[in-house]
Amino acid sequence: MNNSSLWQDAVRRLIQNRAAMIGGITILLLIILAVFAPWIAPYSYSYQNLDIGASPPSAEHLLGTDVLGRDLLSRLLYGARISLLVGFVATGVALVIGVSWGIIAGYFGGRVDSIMMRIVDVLYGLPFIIFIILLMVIFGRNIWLLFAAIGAVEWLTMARIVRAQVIGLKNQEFVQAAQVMGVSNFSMFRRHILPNILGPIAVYATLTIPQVMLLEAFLSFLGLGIQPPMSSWGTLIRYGVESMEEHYWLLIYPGLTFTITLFALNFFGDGLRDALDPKTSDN
Amino acid sequence: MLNVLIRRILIAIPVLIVVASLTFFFIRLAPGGPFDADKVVSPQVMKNLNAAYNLDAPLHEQYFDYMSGVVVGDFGPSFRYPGRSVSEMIYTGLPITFELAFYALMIAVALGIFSGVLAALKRNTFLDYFPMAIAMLGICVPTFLMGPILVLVFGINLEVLPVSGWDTLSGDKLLPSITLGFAYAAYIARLSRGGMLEVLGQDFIRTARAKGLSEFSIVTRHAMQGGLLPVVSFMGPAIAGLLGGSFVVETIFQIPGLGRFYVEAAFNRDYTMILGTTIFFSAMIIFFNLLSDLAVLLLNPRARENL
Amino acid sequence: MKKITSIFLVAILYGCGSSVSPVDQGLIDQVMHIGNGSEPQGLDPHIVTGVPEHHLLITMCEGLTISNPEGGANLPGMAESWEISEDGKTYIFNIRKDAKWSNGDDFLAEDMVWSWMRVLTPSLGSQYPDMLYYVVGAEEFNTGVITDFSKVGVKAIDAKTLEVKLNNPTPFFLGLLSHYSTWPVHKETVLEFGEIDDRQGLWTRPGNFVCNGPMNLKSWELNKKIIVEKNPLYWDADQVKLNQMHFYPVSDINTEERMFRAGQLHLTSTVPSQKCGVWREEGNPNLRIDPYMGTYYYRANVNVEPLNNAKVRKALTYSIDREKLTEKVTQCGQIPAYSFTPPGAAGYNPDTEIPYDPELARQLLSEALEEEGISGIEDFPVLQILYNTSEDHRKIALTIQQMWQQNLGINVELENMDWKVYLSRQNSMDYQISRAGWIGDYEDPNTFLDIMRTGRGNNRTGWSNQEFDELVGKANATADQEERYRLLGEAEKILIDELPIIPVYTYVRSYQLSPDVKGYSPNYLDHHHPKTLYLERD
Repeated sequence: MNNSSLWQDAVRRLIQNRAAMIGGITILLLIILAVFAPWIAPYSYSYQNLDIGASPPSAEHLLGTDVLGRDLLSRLLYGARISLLVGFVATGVALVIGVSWGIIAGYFGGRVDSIMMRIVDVLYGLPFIIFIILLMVIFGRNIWLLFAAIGAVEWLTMARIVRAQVIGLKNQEFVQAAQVMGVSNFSMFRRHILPNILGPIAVYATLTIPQVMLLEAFLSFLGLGIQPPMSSWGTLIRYGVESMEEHYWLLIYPGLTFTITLFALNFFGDGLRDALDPKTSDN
Repeated sequence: MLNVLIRRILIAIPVLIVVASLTFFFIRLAPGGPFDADKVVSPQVMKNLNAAYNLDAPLHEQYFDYMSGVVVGDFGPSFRYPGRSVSEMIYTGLPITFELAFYALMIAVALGIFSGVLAALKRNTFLDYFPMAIAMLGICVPTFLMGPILVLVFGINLEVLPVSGWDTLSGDKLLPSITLGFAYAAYIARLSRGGMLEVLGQDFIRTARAKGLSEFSIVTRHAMQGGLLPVVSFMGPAIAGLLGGSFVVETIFQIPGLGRFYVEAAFNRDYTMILGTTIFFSAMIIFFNLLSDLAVLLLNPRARENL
Repeated sequence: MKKITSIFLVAILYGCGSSVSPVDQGLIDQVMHIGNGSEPQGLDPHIVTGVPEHHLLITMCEGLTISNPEGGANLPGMAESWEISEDGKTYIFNIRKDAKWSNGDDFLAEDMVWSWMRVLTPSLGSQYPDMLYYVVGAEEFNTGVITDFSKVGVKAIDAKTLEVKLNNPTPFFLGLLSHYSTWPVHKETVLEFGEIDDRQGLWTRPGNFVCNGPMNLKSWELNKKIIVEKNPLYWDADQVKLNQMHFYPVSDINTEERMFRAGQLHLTSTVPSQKCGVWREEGNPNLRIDPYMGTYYYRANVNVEPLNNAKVRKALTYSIDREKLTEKVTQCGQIPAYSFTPPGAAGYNPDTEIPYDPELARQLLSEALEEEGISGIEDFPVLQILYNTSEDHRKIALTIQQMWQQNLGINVELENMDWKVYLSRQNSMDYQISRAGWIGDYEDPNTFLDIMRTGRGNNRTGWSNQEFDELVGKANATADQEERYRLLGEAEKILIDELPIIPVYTYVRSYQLSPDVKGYSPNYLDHHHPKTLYLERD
């Protein structure tokens, strides 16, 4: 079996998927904008202009200003850094832990599975807010810690889904065949199990990213997340909801950006799934 | 099956004890006590307050006191609301949150599975793109945005639905349930579409088609069992999320549910209330995870050894 | 499918569209709907501590005196008249002959004595016993120094006469009596459900609750609604026109605003700040902005370098543009504060000044840098502003952060903590600058200046000034109001010269009030007695 040609096939399929490509390019663009935000942004994200207060889009402020006179476009650009970071890092953390946990629990079954899933149950039950408060207090306001904390919550669901998938796979013929052939466990995971569950994982990962971004907004709103004046898209949307009727631009632009990003992520994720799982594509 | 059920229920007890114990100790680590207030009181008064609630006893003594109460169903008095016991507050709020989560789940499952399966069947057509686009919207639009928008449109501008409260099914219970359920409908739609596509691409489906079975029978009797597997295993986390996410909806619509109590208890450092609701929510999550695992088993009998 | 959908929609519309709004219905039934901010901690006046609790308790219980709706000196409550001795230290209260409890029992002077004993009982853990510390022996009883309550200066001379002895002539004592911790509770009811110091007693439940005010507790649905209804046995029941008052614990201010708009509330507890500015411009007729006895300020921890240097604190204070802040940021009619005590409180007008002078501020700062041996502004330590989670605190902190950074060239960081962490950091003095607010408990400048005395629990800045302490102490022992105000004014000058606290603005009470509500007058302490309220539509 030549694995590289399978991957080459997958890449080829991905490239041919127009929606996925558009999604992927959009994400790339956003990442570039976020990275270069300090150079691109017309104003600082914290500079207040109290005399103009909240003003609609104009020549000086392309997307308008918020109640403290801060330029929305600049805040969106800087916010991209936070949100994209949160999205990718926290989801990444959740992925790594959740997938490994789920594969091991699902594949080995029995006692191992039982203990692993009961630990998941315990972690599910603990009050999340208190946990975050404690983390912030003991370790200070470290943004990476925040991401890790969010990831630490999301991996639980990932583990459950992966485990269910693995259980389904485990009893299929090709797995049993490989077992008979004496394939090592690690090899089993890497070459047989993992490729076959990448599909649902990709889909679920693209679902986790928005959840993570909104969870960050929720935490920031409760005073447990990013310190002002820095804001993420989630917090910008939150502020926008409050002034929804008086200053509509404060909601529409962050909301639109958020939605477009997630749509793009989604198309790309779907494309990934389709590329990696030929049986579900249109051949 | 019964063995599995009993074994899981028995294991749930130590799990709950671990959750309760961990929570007991680490809520006391968070700075700020239940009686810290803006207007500072004299040290004597603080001493009196702590004594009234046994907070000056050694920690392990408090722990055993508390746990022995829990065993007989006594979750202690609320620290924040003198005269209210935690059990009383939970019994007041839990049914309401449960009801809200139930309606939301019904909406989520009905809408989600229907659109997800439809999208999978009519793949790459309008009937795929449109529901999935709405689903994406549902995932992107957070409850704290959807709620106020629905209220502004239906409650204030059109004046057809009440703006807050929790009294009548066709009245003020409608908007909160939709707000909470819509996001989950979106997730379920995507998960079921993904799952169905997986299954529909498999050989045995091809065989069934070749054998000339009706599309309807293929979908319902052969494909759904496996295709909805991700949805079924998502039920556990979904319910956990609904119970947790109810807080935002309860705040927006002024619903006296347990979600609000729980979050407020955390911020008030109402130790007994935090513990009581944690135990209850944990128990419910464990229960629903168990149900969902059983359902996975039912749909996939060869997975027995994993339970 | 289409048919079913349309039937469904019509059913919903029919079911809901034809209902009358609570405000409209309330007009007919004389039922008032009130947004009350949060679920009350309880209804025991000797245990609770908050403002929502006050709004409820003022409808159900009454103290010796009540606040005057027009402002000024308190009016008779349970006491229909009183005599004050020459030296101002002995009060004789004549209890109303027709005063009754809501269960028909006569209201006796003995009831007040027992109630004050209860609130001062240490094991009850009341958080406001200091309201009564002006009474002889009260502080000693509450701190356990004495255990015999007969040594405390409150006695029932006869069934309807109460004698109170104070440590010092306390001109604001009558005003103090409108604070709920001094209000009476019904002894038999309390003892039926527990001991005198039992915090878990169920006597406050509907059906058990007995008190002496214009309304009585009808129902209490946790986190949903509390209903009080007219008490026919109240001594002034003829004046009470409302039949019921419904209190809703709405915690989200935007939800409360929507409820008001939809006709579910007559009165809100507050106004979302981003709407206030817009409404003031438009001239929203339902918007009310009343003066309120409170100050929004920043505490400076004088034990921390470089805040130990008064010039640094002055520099910080003089570089805040209060006018701009209240006009552009808080936008709801707040008044820039140039003193700690709100001016005009009971005729007290502090003669203090705080200029907005960035030039002077920079000069003071560089002088301070020299004194402290710091070479340049770049070496000035980063200052952290601690505040608890709230939209308004955040906006103000952001604005002040920018003002300090721009006007002084220093670095400022913001620390947003949740409520309890914020409290604990302040209590343990683990902060540099922290946001604070103080609301007066009674209408006298002493309620503000007293907290800045050395070692006072609410001081929390580490500041101590002997002259200040002496002036305030002397003022408390003086009977002559003019002399008192002179002394307090001197004390205030010292405070504003040393600036351990940085005043920002004077509070206002902003809320929405339905035009149907009559008899609701602005009150400096936000005390609104229900017997003046009624509903009428023009």
